[in-house]
Amino acid sequence: MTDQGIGETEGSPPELQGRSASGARLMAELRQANTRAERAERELQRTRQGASYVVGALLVQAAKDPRRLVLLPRDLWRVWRLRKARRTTGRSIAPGVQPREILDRDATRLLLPRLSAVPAGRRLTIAGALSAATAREWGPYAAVSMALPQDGTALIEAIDPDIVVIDSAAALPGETWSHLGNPAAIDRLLAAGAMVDAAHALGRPVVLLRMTPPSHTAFLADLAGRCDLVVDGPGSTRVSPWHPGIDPLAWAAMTPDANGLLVPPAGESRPAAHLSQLLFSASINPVTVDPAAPVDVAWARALAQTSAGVADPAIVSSRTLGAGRTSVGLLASGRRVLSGGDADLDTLLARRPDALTAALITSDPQALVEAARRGPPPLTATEHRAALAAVLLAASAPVQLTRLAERLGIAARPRSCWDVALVADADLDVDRILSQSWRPREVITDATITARAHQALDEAGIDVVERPPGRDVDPARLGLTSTYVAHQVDLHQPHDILDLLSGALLGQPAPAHPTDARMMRSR
Amino acid sequence: MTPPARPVRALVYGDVNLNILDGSAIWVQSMCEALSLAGVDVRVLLKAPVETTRLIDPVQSMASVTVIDPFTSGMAPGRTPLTADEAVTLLERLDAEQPADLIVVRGLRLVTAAAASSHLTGRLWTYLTDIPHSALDMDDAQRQHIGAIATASRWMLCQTEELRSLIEGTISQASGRCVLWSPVVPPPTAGLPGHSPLTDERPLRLVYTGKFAPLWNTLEMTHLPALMSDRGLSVEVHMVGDKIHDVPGDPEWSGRMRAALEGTPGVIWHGGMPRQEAMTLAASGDFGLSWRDAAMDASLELSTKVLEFASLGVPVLLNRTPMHESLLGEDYPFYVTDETDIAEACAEVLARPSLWTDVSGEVSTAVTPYGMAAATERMRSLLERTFPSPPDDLAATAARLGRPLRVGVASHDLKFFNRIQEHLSALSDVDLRVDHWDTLSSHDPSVSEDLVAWADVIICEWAGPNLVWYSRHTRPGQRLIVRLHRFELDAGWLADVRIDAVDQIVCVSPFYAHLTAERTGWPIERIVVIPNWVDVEQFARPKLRGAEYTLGMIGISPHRKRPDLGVEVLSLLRRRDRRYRLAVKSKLPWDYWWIWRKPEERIAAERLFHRLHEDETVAGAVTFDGFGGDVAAWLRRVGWVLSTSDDESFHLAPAEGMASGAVPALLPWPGADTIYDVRWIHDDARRMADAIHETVSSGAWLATAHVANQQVRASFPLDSVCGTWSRILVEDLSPDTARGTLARG
Repeated sequence: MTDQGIGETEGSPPELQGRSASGARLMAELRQANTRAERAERELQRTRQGASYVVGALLVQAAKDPRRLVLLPRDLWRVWRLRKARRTTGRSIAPGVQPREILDRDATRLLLPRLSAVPAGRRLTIAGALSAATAREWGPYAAVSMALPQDGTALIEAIDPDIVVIDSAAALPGETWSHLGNPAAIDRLLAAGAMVDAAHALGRPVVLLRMTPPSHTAFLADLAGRCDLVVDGPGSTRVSPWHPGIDPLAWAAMTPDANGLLVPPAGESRPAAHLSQLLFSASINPVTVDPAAPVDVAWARALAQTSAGVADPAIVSSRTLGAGRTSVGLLASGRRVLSGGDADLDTLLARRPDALTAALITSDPQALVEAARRGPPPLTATEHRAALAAVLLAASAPVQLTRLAERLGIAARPRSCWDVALVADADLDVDRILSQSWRPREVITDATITARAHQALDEAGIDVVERPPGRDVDPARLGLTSTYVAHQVDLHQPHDILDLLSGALLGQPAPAHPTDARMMRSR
Repeated sequence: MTPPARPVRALVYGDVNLNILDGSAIWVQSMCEALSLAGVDVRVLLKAPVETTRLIDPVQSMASVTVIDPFTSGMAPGRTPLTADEAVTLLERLDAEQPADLIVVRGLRLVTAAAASSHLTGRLWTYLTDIPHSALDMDDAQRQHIGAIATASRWMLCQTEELRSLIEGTISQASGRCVLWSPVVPPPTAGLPGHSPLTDERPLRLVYTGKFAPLWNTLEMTHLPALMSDRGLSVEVHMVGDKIHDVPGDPEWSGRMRAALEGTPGVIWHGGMPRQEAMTLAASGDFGLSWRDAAMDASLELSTKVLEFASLGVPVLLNRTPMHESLLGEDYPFYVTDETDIAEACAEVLARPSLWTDVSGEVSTAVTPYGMAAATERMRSLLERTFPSPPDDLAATAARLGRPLRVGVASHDLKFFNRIQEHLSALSDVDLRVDHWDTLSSHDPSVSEDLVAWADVIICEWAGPNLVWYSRHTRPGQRLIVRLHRFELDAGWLADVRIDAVDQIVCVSPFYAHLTAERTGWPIERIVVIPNWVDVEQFARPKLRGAEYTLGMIGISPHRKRPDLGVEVLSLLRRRDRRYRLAVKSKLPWDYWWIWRKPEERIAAERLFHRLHEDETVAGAVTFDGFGGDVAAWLRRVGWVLSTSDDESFHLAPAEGMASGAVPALLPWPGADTIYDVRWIHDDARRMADAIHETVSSGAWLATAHVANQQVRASFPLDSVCGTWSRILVEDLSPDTARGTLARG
């Protein structure tokens, strides 16, 4: 997968992806507009039927026409009677039976979890059928609510999220929506369909995230047809690729301090199972993630014993999307990855050539087993920084969620947590700024820039912040919005800002740099 | 339904043209053969004038099968294929001439017309594949439409488990009526060619049989010889069939298909062939082709071609779909998505011929349940359920009376009695009428009086005011039987029952028999036990992946069902293994106004849901899957059925779970040990959790579930319970039935 986001990678023509993305956005906007119009119409109708409006209209008529003035007492009496009748006439219900609305209120109150407020700064709300892993990786960058089959509709109506996501991994055994898509669980499919309807009634887009093989999602085809956007993540096919991203900081916090090798469970393909068997039979101290433990605990325990890991799945077929969460997470955590074949992982690392050595990708099972037996060392600081940089570009949750929001026409930008303000030289070179793989959000300059340069930056979504000449950069005084400020960046290096950010996120000291560049937190 | 005292008679109409070789035509052949082998007299009605006898001849040669050609007998109005209405009219006419006991019909249009016939309804065995295959796409009108068909059907025959689940999950009337009728593969005839060893010296033979249509990738298949040749592989594609589809929107497709069949080097088109000849050709192949467009992956139908190839030991190149994975396994090596996969598979078997040999044996074994022998067994079992034999005493009584025994059933609620009623109605020696009470205590006395005047035997389902009334109005010599459940023991009206008039008091468990005797003082020798029934065949369905970690509860309202204890068990388990989950099939307390008005119920519900949100060991791990008759389909996801109630008269849920292949887990409510084996009863929630985890973590879940399944089959299967009810109509059961435990096996 490349840093353009999986939606723009190989597998489907760019123009088709563009159409698909803009189509989804237009559909979402149209639906939102329709919903707003319908709400307004309903509101207007309610107002017109209200006693205040009716009385007002009668008074106006009476003022305009003396004949109506004569009839005014009678008309007002009728309004009073009608209103009284409305209040007293209820539906006929059995003794002891409560009206449905009251029961629904009880049901909603008891079924729905206590919803936490949306944390400030996240600016993106996501709800739906989510796997534990997806929710965990997105949690720090969006307000994520996991719906259950019984409360999906009520939850969507209660929180009115920006995006509703149905994650096919949530349908795996042990997950909250297990067996969704299996005809033996029609109830789950109907619940998911109701959730989609609830989202659409609010004008919110629904995304189907396929994270599992086509055989698992075949029966979700009709649900897919109701969604505004269907994307394929690792494990699915290359129809509409988009990586859901990981939380790189959580993985980076689990640094290697032992020499075991993480080995995934055998995959469904014969070659992958064969490779797993070879690895287990070699004397390599294999470590597995305990499926019985809570996910966080299990991963923490497993990673604590390892310096490297085998990609999951060990071999990715050419038709399947690779760069799975385990592989990407291992890289972010500073562990070397051994893979029997994963073109997407290869492409991801190729973005930062320094990172290519972070993974051993070979189609020779014996070579892989031999490498495993030798005990691969953890990544060097340089490799780790480069690998994280590659992950930030193509497989990090805030970046990928921002891309998703853009595709859906939603003005939310989780990536803003890593926004960089670039302190520019006097001879500001716009082309080189725009060719940075991690573009700054703000450019701080004490020089007067040309209108053309200003326009180019503006079009790229980069704000220009002027500071008085000779003054130090004071983020508060300048009103910077970015989290980081980059100084002395070598704009001749297209990845310089990215590498500085990556090092800053890892807490690494700035590497030797010809320009003495540094990345500081702005607050 | 009046069952026959002679061979069962069937009418079969498939609404298919038997001149054309396709899956539907083969279905008609298989259905006739299975009925014939099960001893049924079959009349099969043709839809179209005979143009070729290659499919009809084998049908005609089957024992007790008569082919009715309405075009030569003057029954059909013309020479055009029958419309649905014409076919139903003819079926009615044939039925009038010689009444059929069952009428097998296939296809939505035809079945719709047949279901609307008041003459045929109730005897229809319907087979539908052409219904919407998506629950989301099914609208209310379609649900009503299929619901009406379900109501008119004695059985709905479903081709696959997936289709059965869809129908049961969307059509409430279909629950309990859906049975599996898988495609049937006839046994290969003798003299089929053996497989030639794989070698580079000869071309690989890929064989396709069936219709030619875009979604079946048949045009793409004709490109394979050239594509393989580019890779240095010599491949022949043999294609059998003569039905080339016209494609709306692409009128030239059929022309292109025909041209490709006729003029592509490496493609050998054999045209239409009798089935056995097609199988002979298929048997000579190295691979069968069932590679289809991905749009077909969500199909709920299983290709008969796949089964045929596999039964011949010919590995099949086919899409990876959930159904194919169930059939052939997840690690089957010849799943394909495109030509590249096909080339890889061809190259792989040439490089490793032993792989072909291994897979050949595996696929052949995998399709054994789809053979004609298995189908005939299924048909016999279905016929036995539909037309049960009466016990000897009952038959003798009917013979003595010179007419069927007249049985009246009086009740306000027959939900626990319906399958027994169905069974009794199906007996040739019983004539059954129902006095349906409006409520527990209100009825139409004239209807009840008529029943007293008419019946030989009266059954009061529930010991309610109905029993009081009938005990005071029965005629001398009239037999009165009552079935008492649980709540009646606390009611005041039992004192008004004239017990001398009651011949048998049926309880569902020894514990309640004991309580009944204790509280009522009724004669102990008349108190007997017939357990509740479990339709074990309905529940026998494959489990879904991960079922061993899923606990299930059926019915959690009112609070005395103790869902809180179920949640406690879950919490204890999840502290050890986070994969455990709890699925609940039930209405919720607020769905019952008489429950929700009680403050104590509200408090209990508040507590329960508070825990489900606040206790991190269970938060998000409990799903409420609604309420409905599709319990058998729902149980596929469940590996453990809990019974944590404060008290129960029987609690059917654990027994249904056992029938489904789940393990029961009960707390010791009073009388539980008189129904279930004590090995399933645990002292408290902690011990229950210990036992569950020990079983799962030691890998013993499957074996334990098997033991439970054997027990339920021995203890309270539907046929045995119904058999006992047939006996009690004419003979007193032993009071010994009310002692000990019902658990057997």
